[in-house]
Amino acid sequence: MIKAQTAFTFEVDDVEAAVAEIKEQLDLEALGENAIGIIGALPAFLQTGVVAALQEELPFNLVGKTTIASSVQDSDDSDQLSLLVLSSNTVEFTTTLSEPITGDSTEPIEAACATAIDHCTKTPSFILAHAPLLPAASSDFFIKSMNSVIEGVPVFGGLAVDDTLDYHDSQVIYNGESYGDRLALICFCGETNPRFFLATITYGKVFSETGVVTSSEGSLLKTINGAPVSEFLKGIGIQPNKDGEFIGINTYPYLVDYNDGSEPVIKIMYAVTPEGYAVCGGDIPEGATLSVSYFDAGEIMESSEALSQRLAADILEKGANVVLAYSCIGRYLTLNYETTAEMKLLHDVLDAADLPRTIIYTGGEICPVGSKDDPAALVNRAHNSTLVAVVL
Amino acid sequence: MSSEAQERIAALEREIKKLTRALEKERTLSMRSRANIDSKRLLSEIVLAERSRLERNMRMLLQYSSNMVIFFDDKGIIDFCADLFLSFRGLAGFGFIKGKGLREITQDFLPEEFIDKIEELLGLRPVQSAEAEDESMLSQGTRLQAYSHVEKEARDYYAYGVLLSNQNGLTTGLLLQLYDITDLLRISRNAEQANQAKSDFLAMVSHEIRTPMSAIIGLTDLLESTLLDEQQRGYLNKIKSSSATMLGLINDILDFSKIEANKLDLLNEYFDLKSLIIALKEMFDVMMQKKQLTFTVAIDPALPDVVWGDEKRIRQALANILSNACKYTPSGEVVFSIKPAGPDLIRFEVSDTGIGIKEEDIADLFVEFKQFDLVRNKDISGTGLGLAITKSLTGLMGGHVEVSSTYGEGSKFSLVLPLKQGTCEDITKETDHTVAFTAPHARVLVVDDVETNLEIVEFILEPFEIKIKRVYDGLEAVHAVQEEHFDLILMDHMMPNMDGIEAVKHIRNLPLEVAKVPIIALTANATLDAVSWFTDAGFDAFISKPIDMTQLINTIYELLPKELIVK
Repeated sequence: MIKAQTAFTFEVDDVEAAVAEIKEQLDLEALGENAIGIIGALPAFLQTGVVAALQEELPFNLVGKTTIASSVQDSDDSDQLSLLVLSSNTVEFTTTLSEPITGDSTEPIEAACATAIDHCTKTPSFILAHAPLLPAASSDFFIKSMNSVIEGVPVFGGLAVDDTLDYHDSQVIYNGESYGDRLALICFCGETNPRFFLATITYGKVFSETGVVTSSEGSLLKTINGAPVSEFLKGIGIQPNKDGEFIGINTYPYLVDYNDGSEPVIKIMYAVTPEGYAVCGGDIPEGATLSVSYFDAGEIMESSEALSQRLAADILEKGANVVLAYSCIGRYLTLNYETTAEMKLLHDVLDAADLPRTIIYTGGEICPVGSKDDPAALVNRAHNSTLVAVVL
Repeated sequence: MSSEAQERIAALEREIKKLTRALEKERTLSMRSRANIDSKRLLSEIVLAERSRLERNMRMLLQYSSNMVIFFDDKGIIDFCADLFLSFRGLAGFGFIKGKGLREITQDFLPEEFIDKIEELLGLRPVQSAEAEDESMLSQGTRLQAYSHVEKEARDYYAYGVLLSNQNGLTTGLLLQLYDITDLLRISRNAEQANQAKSDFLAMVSHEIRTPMSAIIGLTDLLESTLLDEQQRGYLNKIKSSSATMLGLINDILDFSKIEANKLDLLNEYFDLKSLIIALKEMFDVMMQKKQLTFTVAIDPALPDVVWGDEKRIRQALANILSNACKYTPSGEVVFSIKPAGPDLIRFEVSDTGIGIKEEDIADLFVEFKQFDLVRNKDISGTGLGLAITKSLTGLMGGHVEVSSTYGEGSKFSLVLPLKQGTCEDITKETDHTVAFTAPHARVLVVDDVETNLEIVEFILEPFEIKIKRVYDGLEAVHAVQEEHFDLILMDHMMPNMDGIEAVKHIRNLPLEVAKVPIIALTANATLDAVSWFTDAGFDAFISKPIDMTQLINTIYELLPKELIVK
């Protein structure tokens, strides 16, 4: 069984006050034999030393990442440091930090996974991944590398992000230190029976035209239906401006069906190159079928509401000790001046369940999906613009 | 500076840092929002354009659709309709029915129960039956007649409905479609009339040809019984042979028209298969010998003796194939083999060393009236119906036909038929031979307007010491039965003054003593439902002309009162 506690602080500059505030919210005597702290915080908390100070004061490792916003059940404002403490007498939490990742080699990721699993004395039931935001390594890069080692263990997690325009302060946090190019893993060893949920896009929001990916290279989507991506976009009415730029292209996510029996996932486009190719937030393999959708605040709230209701029903039926949710920074920003609306909604619905929960915004989500025929047959997938949640 | 002042300054510095961070974040959010707003504007334009395009397409679809389409919402209130529906109802615009309900709009042309069902499915009225959830009435549709203001006449329509629902499965409304089937019905009626006309024509032609044919064949039999020299007998045999050929052609055409109209019924019974094969062998031995062809019949030892099937039709199908093999083999041999092909399955195979069939012609082999190589085969007679009939009969019997051929070398035709095996005990007594009896005290009335036919019947009955009285139409027959007693009547169909059908009706309405007389229809009308037609009209039996003597005598034997029969 896993026990959970949460804590938060808005205090960035007064390190002592921040640490005291966090400690005041935690019952450290009630922790189980094994404990881990999952942290989400604005980069400022790293820069002022709050995270490092917390690591010194708390009797467990702090692993997590920077974010643009996060919240726990008692606070749905966003500019805080959120801490989720998990402890258990039956489940072990093994942690590893990879060597620097450049995107040229999968070896650091594979080695980190192997180490995390090796340190388990029990069967690993799932892995929580905190990945760096790297131009050369999409979330699919991490997934593919991890899948080659972990042999069917479900992976949940996300990429670091921050509150700058170009995300230059995005960091992975590991034992109080921060890293811009390393992967931190928490391996849950022992029975946890994780249940995974996703909020994607309602089908009514999808343009009716579908395309088949005819050429791609990793996250560079080159041609759809044999023609450059730009032609496909123009065909459905998404036109470039007078300078030939596709402004706000990340507002039009793809719903991608890998045609392998698994549920479709969302991938976004970051930019369209002069050749008409789309730089995407993850791999879109050749042969996949995709449809273009559009995101607006209404869609985000609709999909979040749907996920919250499903979560609530599941918790009511099966019970739970904790909910950890990661949502995409794209959703946060699309909410414009109501940036906390999604978090507030989730908390409002889950208040009735009265259990510890944390929501952290990420730069890319990692969560397994089921197959269309068998929801229990999980496949690890990377997502964009998605709200994912795990219930333990 | 005092510590208090220092603390205050430190607090202010922290506040400034906090505000600076907040400002930075807001600046980031603001810049991102600007991009979002631009894309949102573009998105709105795209969605609007797409919606407009869809709306335009939908309007065009509905405007030009030949079906009348009406949308009702989940309350049964009209939502939208095609212009054609407005025209049909003589309405100047949608405004005249806007806001009105389904019943009000459709009650004067849709059947009541159809409207009731729609209202039930929309939850607008209480459920009346256990099949409340069953939408099949809607999807199967209903026929109706309604006045069209477009055509300015009453027309026939077909209406069907589809319940509309959203992705959560909730009913959102109804799509009702009406399509005009007037022209379709007209075409169907015309086709039926044409078919009936064809059947009537065939019946007439059949009768007109078979009547003189009957006379020719009957008279040749009469002539044969007289003293003839060898030359005369030779001529007579040729007349008989040509008559038989012509009769065969007429029968083929009639059979084919029965098959086309799905009116050919199989008469299945247990029969002796080997006897059939031997009969065919004997029939074709003569033909094959005339052409100096070697004719081999190979019966597999495992072949059952008795099987269940329509012996006459099997004989007909096999005879067609054997006849073709003989016709199209100038020299060499014809092999007829019969063997089991599985449980209750028999393969009849006829292979020849004949002229063969081109590969491109094999597909058309079974097409009626189709003949190939007309120049080469100009001396070979036939209508081109034999194989078409064979294939149809085989199909009707649940079997199939196989063909393989090499042009210039020969062909192989196989009939594979499901024939359930029986035993000798299953075979009922055969009456293919004429029962030997006399009936000197029997009084038989023969009714026919053609003198020759009366002569032929008299000739046939003479050896059986049956005396006949002749009358020439139905009216005379009705009078005759009221004046004297008859034990049996042989009645033609088409006669002046009163035909056979009407005459029988009159006779059956007479007092029972007279009405119960057995009546046999003797007619050249051998089309489609002839047998059931005559028996429904009151006849006890039916014999087609040209008269099969054995069939006639045996039927008379069955129907005459037993006390009049002398064996």
